[in-house]
Amino acid sequence: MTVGPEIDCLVRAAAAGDRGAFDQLVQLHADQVYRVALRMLDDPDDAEDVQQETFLQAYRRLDSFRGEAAFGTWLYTIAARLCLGRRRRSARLHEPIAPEMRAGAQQAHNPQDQLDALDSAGRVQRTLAALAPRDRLLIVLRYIEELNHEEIGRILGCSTESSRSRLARAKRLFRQHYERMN
Amino acid sequence: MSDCHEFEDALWEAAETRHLPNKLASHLESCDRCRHALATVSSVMRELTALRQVEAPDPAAAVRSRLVRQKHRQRWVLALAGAAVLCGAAATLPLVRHQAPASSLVRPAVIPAVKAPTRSSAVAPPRISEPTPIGAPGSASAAAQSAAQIAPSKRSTLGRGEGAPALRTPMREPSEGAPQEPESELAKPCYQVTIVVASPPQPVEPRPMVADPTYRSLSMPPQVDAAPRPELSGDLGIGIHEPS
Repeated sequence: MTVGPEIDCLVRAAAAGDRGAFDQLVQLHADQVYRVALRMLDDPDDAEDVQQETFLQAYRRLDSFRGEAAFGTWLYTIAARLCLGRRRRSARLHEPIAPEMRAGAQQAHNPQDQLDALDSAGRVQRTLAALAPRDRLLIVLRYIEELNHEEIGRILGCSTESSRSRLARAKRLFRQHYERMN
Repeated sequence: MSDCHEFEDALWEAAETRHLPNKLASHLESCDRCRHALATVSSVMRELTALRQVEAPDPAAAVRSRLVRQKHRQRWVLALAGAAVLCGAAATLPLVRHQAPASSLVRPAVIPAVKAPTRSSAVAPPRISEPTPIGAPGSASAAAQSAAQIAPSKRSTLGRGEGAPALRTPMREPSEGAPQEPESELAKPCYQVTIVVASPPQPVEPRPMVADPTYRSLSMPPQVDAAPRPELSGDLGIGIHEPS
């Protein structure tokens, strides 16, 4: 696992024009950016696009990275904005099938098992899809990416307390939706 | 009910950390609703943990696939552009082909300006307004060349026109009994008429055969006009003879 100081060195080298350093940063943070994008957009191709766009923007704006937050948090901020913007722009005509649901259905051979796999794997994803994008982002950042309230506040551009209260509301809504679906 | 609302955060935290605080535990003993909620949140937490197991595709591979897609798109665009250029060229070619005869049709129209002699006046030289050098634009040969480019249907009508066929007649001495050729060709007579017009016998002043130093220096024989020399005319009997 790469620790913070090493990442800071890589960021400084990348900002100085070292392409290899930036490649390492991409390798280190590719999964987390893709994960957030996939949970926010429900589409692997869209998530891949957002991932590339995130790193492209990061590369262009490396000079503006001041180092007040972690580099990963900064990347989350870019990715979250891109996802929210994409969600706003695209009106989904149909509910996409989450990749976990497809994978679970392919692995199970018995039709009943396939249904169960689809049900268990897609329940949380369906509940997330039913939430408003901001609430969804809060749940994803807190319980999938395991960020603390301070980091979430930085990403959303609000205070720690505000992120805490927003998250409490999002959790309540999530549980209501989840229980309704089951 | 208000107590249950307060324990919402504690339920999520307990499900996340798998640790039950005393206060929450005592509440759960007396509240079935919160127990059910805790079971739900624990299930949610497990599924959320499962959602973390996602591997991003290799960024380099993603970039490569994107480049391949872009290359395919560029090839299609180039192919379409090439097809469009070919179609455009094919569309303009017939226009060029039609435009060339249209411009050449102007010159044969000059031919009728020549006064056409009749067959009976074959001995007399044709009266052409102004002799033009062979090959010059507007000359008879140029007209013949341009007429040769006209479509066959056009050429046939021009060949049977008023002026063009009649121009050929002075060159031909119609022999008696010989069948006359049909006057269908245009180019050859036009060319010959010009020669006849350009070479009427003109009285030329005979030049004395004097050696010219200029010719010597060029090592070329002096060119003398083709006019008949007066000293030879008597020997050949071409001079003036009194009728016997």
